[in-house]
Amino acid sequence: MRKILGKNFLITMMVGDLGYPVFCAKSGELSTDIEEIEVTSVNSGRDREYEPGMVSRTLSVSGLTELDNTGGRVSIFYLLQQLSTVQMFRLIFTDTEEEVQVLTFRAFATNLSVNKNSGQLSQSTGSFRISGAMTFSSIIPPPNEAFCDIADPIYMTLGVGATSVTNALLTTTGVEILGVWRSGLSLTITSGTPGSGQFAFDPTTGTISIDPTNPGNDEPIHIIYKISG
Amino acid sequence: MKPGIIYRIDFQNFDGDLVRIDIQDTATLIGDFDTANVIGLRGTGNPLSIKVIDNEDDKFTCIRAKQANIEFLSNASYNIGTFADGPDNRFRVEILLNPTSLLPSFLFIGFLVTDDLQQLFLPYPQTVVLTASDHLGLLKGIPLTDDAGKYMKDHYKISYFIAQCLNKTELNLPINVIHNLRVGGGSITGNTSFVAGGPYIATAQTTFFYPGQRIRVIGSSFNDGDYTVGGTTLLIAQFAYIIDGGPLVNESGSPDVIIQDISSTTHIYDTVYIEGLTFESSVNAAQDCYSVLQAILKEGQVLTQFNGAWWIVSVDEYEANPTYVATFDYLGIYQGIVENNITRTVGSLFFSRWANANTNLELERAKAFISETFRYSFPTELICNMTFERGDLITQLPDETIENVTYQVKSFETECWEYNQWQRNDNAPITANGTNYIKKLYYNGAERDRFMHMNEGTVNGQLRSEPLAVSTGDKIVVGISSRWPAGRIPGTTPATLAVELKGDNGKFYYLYGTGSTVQLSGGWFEYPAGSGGILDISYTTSPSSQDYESWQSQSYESQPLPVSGRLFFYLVFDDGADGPGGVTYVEHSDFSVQYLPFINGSYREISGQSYTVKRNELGYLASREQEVFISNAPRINMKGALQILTGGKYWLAPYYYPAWRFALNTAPDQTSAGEYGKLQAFAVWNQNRNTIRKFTGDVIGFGVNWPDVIHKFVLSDTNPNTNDRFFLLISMDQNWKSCQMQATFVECYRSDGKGYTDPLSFKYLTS
Repeated sequence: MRKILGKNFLITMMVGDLGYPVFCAKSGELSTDIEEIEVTSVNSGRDREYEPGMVSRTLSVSGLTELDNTGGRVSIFYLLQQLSTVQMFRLIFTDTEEEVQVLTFRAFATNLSVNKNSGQLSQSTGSFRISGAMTFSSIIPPPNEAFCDIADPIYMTLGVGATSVTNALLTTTGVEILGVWRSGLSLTITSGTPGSGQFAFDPTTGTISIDPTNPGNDEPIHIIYKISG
Repeated sequence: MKPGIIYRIDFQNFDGDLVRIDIQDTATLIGDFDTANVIGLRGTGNPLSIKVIDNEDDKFTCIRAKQANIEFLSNASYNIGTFADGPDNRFRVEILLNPTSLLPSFLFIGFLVTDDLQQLFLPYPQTVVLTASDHLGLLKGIPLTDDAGKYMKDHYKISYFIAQCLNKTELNLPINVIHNLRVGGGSITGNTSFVAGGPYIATAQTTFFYPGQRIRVIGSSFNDGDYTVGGTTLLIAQFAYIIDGGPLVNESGSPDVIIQDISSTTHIYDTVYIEGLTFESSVNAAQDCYSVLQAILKEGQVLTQFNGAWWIVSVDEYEANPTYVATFDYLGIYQGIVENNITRTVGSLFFSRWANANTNLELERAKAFISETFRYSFPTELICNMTFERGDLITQLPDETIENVTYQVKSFETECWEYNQWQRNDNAPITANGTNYIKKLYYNGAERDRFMHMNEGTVNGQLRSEPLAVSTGDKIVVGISSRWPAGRIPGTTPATLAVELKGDNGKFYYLYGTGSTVQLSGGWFEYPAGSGGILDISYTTSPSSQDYESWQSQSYESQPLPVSGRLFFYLVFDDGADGPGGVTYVEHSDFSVQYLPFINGSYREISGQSYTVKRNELGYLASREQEVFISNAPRINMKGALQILTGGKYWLAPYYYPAWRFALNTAPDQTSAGEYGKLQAFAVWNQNRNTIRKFTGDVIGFGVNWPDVIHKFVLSDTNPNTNDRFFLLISMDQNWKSCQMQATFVECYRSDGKGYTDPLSFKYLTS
């Protein structure tokens, strides 16, 4: 699974044609609120119904206070001089595989604050109201058919003297056994010959094998598995 | 030419449609092919709302004017001051939906109202609130006039009155009408006889013919063609007396003859006339256009603006039948009629649906009865300029001193009075050469007296009035005062007035106003057919020793009129044959005519009529009683009398039928036809005979087929209070950014809601 790391979340403000990080930022948050419009009708029964309405977004950034922009970062004092000006911003997300998604939008400051606690460096905080639509650098496709669905459990009978059960469903590519129970007792997977309280799984034949020294006696076998992509 | 500067606000609304607000400055005009300077303004988060400002709950509220509230952010260049100056029609507002599409729609057209502009008095940017009106409300201060700005005192089509009123808004929009009453009975088919000796046409249908009707006969053996009905008689069949067309050929009992009422083939607004004096406020002055529209539309139709046109819709037609829309251009000229689907749906499964869970259902109780009253009244001046008030100034005359008071004297044209030596039996008049004028005396600039002055000529004549339409059995009371010059005694019994009746039967009569042993006072005497010579005199003064310098007054009540027709009044110059150099002028004053129609067997008793529909069940206590101002009337010169024009003459239009209940241009069921007042009464009754459902709440979802006042609504969420019903939108406040509106819907039809069997009573009202 891809992970988004904190250092790969960058908020920049466009000054001219170039984007500059805002503050020496330690934290940032992009928040989107969607208005709820209630459309409950006389035939809605006991359940209220809603539709999405207008969208509003905010951005907040906080970080170390810098006096000016010479460090290549936007200073809060520069922002204080740009009050009532709508700026262009970019949020740049980079994942562990260096794939990038850029969100571009216009925003203006609604709250700028500088604070200092004894023994700590001064902190700057900026809150911004995003105006208008947000554009994405690339369209995110919808997800494919689920690869990680947990399949319906299999219930089988371990016959008298049997040391294994076989089911064709277990031969599907990507099958991963999540759990096996014999007469309600959980078994542990092993790669070799199973001993007491163990089972082995052969995906090519779809066979679950149990301890051969303790064959079955018309006992229930409960198998939970998933199919991964 | 077109506006050269346009202030524009564009925004995309919640439904994804583009809305464009154009505020056009008409103070700067450019050529039609030049490019206007478009100045962009920034709309606020609430840039446009459109609402109806007449929000009365009554479905029959005639006028639903609209207003648009526009908001933009000011800056140093464009702010409230940009729109502060100029006349009321300087800034024209046009609001379009999807302006760049092939078929953009008009959400609103109007003008900015300076009174309602506002902005906070603080540094920029601030929200500037502009209000635009469709100017219907401003019609309250504008009198009714014609294209040339003149007082309308003749007959005009209903469409012309409406157009003249609406054009005072200066929007010049076309007019669409959903109001499909048709004059007459449409057509009938059946056994018909033709009698050459009448000439009569007879049919078993007893309510089809009426005087003034223009008919077309199809399918007879010998009598196909167009005819005018002069009168009707009802025996075992209805007989129509033909006065134009033919001659008829005797033909008895021809089956399957089709008789079409030609008046039924055109729209009521293009067929029916009203006399302009209906809308007078005083002599030679008209009511304001808003009142005129209310008088025409009351208790039936609703006027509003929608998609670039004025719409007039009839509440009673919002039912399960197809809807037919008649179109008129902005001058009131009929263009055609088409079927148009005006149904819109509000419901959870539709684009327009209830929002915010605040929909409220209220009820309005059923009525015990409804009553529509039409009062009989006549114009202030029965005869045009009968008080000698009007006429263009001719010249200043020498001052006159009367009883030691010196008056300034002026002469004026004899407006509405035509001078000739008039002859009997409508023979060609002889040109008379006496001079005549209205003489007015002033003291210190204020008028103190006026009268008609007639000078002697070598060929003397009479001043003839404009006609007064009268009916058989009516009476008149005519008065006049006359005098002659000081020291000049006229000969014996000088004449003062002649009154002539031109009958609809083609004969001529005169009124004899002075008693004698030979003829009765006030009697009507027929001129021998073909006889010539000057008119006979009605009034003469007594030959006894009168002071002829003083006003000699006469007044007589006539006998009942022998036939219907038109009355003419003649002011006479008569020197009593005293010879040349004797009497050189005569003056007439205080001319008066009181018209006494014979209605329901009486004179002076009947003041109006009412149509009442009342249920038989007991226990209902609510009622609705309204006065209407146009209707079927017993006399053609009554204010508000609905008339048709046939053969160059105006006739009362007594019958109508609801054409929308039948496929376009098909024959109606004759039982549905009746007087205008009767159909109006049932139309109102059917909106009040059942408990009415009223829904108030928020609706979301407009789209390109947005809900509006002219539409017929289905509320589709299944419920006993909405099923099988149609609703009118009587109030709305639409936010065109969020595409939500506050709306009020009132039930106007349900599948079992129309009834025509409840008792209807017609009653004459007494003074």
